Amino acid sequence: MTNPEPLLQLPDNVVQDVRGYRNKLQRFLDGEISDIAFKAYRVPMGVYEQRESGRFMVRVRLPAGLAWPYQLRRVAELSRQYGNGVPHVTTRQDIQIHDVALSDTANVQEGLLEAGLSARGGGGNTVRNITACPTAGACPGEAFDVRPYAIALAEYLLAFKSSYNLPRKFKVAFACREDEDGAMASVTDLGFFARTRDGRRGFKVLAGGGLGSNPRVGVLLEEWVEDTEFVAVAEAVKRLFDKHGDRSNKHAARLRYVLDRLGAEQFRSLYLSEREALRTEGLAGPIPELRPIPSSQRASGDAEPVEIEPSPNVLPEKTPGFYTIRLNLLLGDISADVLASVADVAEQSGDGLVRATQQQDLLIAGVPSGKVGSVLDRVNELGEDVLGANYPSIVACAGASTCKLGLCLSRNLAKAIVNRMREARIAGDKAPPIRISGCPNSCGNHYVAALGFGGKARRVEGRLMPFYDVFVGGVLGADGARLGQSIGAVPARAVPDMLVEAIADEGGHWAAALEGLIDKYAVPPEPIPDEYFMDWGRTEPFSLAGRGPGECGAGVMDIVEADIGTARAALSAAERADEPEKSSSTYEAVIAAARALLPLYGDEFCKDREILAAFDKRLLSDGWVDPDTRGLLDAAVDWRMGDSPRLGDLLQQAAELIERIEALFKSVDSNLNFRLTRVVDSSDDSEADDHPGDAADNVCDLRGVKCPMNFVKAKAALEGIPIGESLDVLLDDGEPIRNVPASFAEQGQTVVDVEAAGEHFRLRVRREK
Amino acid sequence: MEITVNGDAVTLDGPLTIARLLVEQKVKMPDMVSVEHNGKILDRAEFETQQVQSGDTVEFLYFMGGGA
Amino acid sequence: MNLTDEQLERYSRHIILEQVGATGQEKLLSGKVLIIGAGGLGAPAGLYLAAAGVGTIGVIDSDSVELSNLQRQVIHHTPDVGTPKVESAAAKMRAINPDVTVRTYFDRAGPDNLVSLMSEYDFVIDGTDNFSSKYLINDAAWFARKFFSHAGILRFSGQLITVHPGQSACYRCLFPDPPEPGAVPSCSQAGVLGVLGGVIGTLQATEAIKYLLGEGELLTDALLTYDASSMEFRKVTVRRNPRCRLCGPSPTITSLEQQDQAVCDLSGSCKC
Repeated sequence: MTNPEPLLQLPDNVVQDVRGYRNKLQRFLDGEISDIAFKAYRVPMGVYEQRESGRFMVRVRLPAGLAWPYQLRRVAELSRQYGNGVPHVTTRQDIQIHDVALSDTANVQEGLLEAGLSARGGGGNTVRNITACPTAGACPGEAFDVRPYAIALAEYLLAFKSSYNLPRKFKVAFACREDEDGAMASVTDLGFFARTRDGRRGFKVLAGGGLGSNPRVGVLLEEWVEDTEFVAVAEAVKRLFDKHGDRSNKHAARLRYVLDRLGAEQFRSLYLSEREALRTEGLAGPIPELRPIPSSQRASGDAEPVEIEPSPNVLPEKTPGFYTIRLNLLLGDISADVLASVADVAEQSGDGLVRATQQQDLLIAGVPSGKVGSVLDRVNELGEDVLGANYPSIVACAGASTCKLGLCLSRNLAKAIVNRMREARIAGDKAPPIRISGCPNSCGNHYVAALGFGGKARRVEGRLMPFYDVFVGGVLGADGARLGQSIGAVPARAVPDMLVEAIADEGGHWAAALEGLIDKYAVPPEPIPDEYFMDWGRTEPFSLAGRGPGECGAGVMDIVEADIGTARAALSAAERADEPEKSSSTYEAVIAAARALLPLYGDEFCKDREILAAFDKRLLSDGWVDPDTRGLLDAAVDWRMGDSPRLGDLLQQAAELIERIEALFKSVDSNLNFRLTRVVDSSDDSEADDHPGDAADNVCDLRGVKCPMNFVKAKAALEGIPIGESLDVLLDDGEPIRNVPASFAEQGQTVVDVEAAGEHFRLRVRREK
Repeated sequence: MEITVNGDAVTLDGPLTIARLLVEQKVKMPDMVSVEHNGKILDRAEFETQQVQSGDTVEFLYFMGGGA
Repeated sequence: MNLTDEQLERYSRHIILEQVGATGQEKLLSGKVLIIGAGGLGAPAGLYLAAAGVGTIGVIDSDSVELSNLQRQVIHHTPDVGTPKVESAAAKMRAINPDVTVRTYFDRAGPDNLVSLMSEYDFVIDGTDNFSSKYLINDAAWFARKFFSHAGILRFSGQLITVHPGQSACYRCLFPDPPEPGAVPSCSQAGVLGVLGGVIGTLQATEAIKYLLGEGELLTDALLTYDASSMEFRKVTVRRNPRCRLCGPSPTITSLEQQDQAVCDLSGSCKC
């Protein structure tokens, strides 16, 4: 039997790019290409470095979430041969091969290509996998099958180089109906919702949605466009993004920030002018053919029709008598062997395809009622990787175990919830679909779930404790999509118990029950059990160590605020008190103030001595606070050691310190950098690399500018900013990135950072003179 | 005696006057020379009287009026 | 001042330099240099200063271009013969660099105009061809307290020195006694290798640029001499002359009008 053609016909440029991978890798291994240049190449090729193992992950795009069995068998094979043997289904319908040695990534790339798969555009500032409702084509309420559109659009966009060099990643999704959004199209950069009008096909279009640390629902771009316009719509939005996306700040580069910045009206009008321009210019390429998705679906006569009781794992389809079988994976993980078996089952029993879902599950659709029983039997034989009906649907991000930005171990919480529910003998379908993110960024999409948990850290009795914000009521859809609202925060350890108690509510009103329970669980029991200070799956106390400053650091904001609050309270106590209380309160205020900003650097100390040392290193020596503060700190230590009788006299200085700390905190931007300028310029601190204050508001886009004019322009721009401040320079790969940073260094300026940003680089340089 | 004239070591019978040195060094147009003796610019009137001793440094600075 | 893209490109090789940069280029663009004499020394100086983007360049000269000038005065071209040198020079400088404002003075530099003229500039280049002018410029610069570059060329030799009036040795410190009128051969009598003006005039422009940038060490208290036959540069250290009639502690020249009788007369007898 010959394999069917891949659903997505990879454009020639993608095939060429993949064929060139081995050569590029070899040149990197031979030292001909710099680390950073290779990183900039490999990430848009879909190859990511994993944080802990030093090995690599290859993210394979499954167009519209679809794969032929032979393609999944290839993924399984490659995962077994070169990876850890456990492929992973993502929330964007990709499938990832983990733990691949760098030298083997070329084998993986080529092996995928042979099966008509590709990781090209799997990462970086590219057009990412174009997703669709996982049940599209089978969904009873769908307007029409959107999968051919998703695939055609992918073929169109992947053919252009510009699709791999956008301001930031660009995600497109197709929902097969308006009233439900299985594709999460309402919270993506560009979302198409299928609808019909007088028998004609068309779309409602939303754009500028997104999750992450600043989630928002997309705005309406088109109430109705004919289906033939779908490429023009996407091209226009892509162009708008390309022109107006803020390439200077990757934390505010996504399309939703363009929308925030311009406002919905201007955003729409820019979109319309791009559409207008396209009408006169025409598209950059032909619209790929819309090919119906082939189906090997057998006539229902193959087996006698039987009555089937729908369940979360058995979903009726639009064609009566056919069912979609859901394979509930725990957090998207499935062993290679089981994946290969799933492929066999799909080949023999369904429409011949396997679908990956946004819930990190797999679906086999097109199963005639008469075969549902045997398919379920076979699925049950697949072992623990595929959970039975008694498991809740939980999605979780990678979490702090692999994500440098993460705070809490979201996957461990998911497992703890599953275990707790099993212990309590609660059927999985009693629980609402749950989504968990290990930090306020919503890689686990916790904002859009019926029930979502977002990790954060809090200080309890002076120690850090992992916490989760609890979100309820997230709804997706073309109309009235809304993000979940936080109803409070509870310690990580309390989440499973609270959830079980809420679900056990007899009326099934888990959400109302949860609101009633949250206050009770928000406060740890007294005395606080040690495990409350440990995250799930860990036996050491929760800490921020190793958490780099990054947008996820937003999760520590509460702690900083609390410390500043403590400092203020101690200060006002000192103001009212007489000695010796005056001195002890002043001391407390100084310590709290000194400690407040340290979490922004990933520091967390309990001992006063360590706090003061870290404060000195991070803030005092680096010029962020008045140098006279040192005198205050010395006096505080002297008082503490009993070497001086009083500290209360320095109340005013303590007040000024708190003032400054608060001002610095208020100036922190989304990248956890201070926007205020230093009190003292400090320039020779080699650890300055990741310091707050290296934020560059100043940006110079010199892509496309050749040597030495790029250096000339960058230097002129640097001379235009005050000494001590930083400039971001965007540079091309090759000669520019080799020369410009070196030239700045030669001339005594500090190269703070060079970072790959898609196919170009961002150089951050600090003016020293 | 050994002296330095325009950076070059010169051996002469000496001591002698600047005027005599100009002759010995075959300076063609002595009217067109200003003399720095041990770092000090001499007036023309001093040429006849100023003695040059062993180890002295003498620079002849030439007038150059051209420029067009 | 913000450099335009065109300026960034035009001056890119300056901006790259650590000692110049955009800031230095901006200093040049706001700098003002007066060139006295658009001849063998003034020609290359004017061309390079214009190319360098010195924002305002003044040129004073009362002569017109002659065929015999073209062997060395590279700012003037064959079709310019007969036109005032200041016009010819200004046209070339503007053509090189439209950023530059060229002010022309079709006039003779004299005791009546020189101090006030110098006061409008930051730096002065002496590109004259006769002793009377060289002493005059030295003295005027003293009264105007202007930095200037003195230079002379003759046959196969040239020399220059930069003067910081009141702080470093002046021309009179080195040459206290002007030669008798007619005793010194001027270039018309002795001839000059054409490239000499290029070498020395370019060094003068270098001093002007360094001064405007505030970079490097100026050629003060040192006479740099160049001998093209032996290809030798020598730097003769000099110092202020305590008996200097102009800048010494007991000056005898207290106004510009006094100094003329000491040198050949200013009407132009020793001109080329």
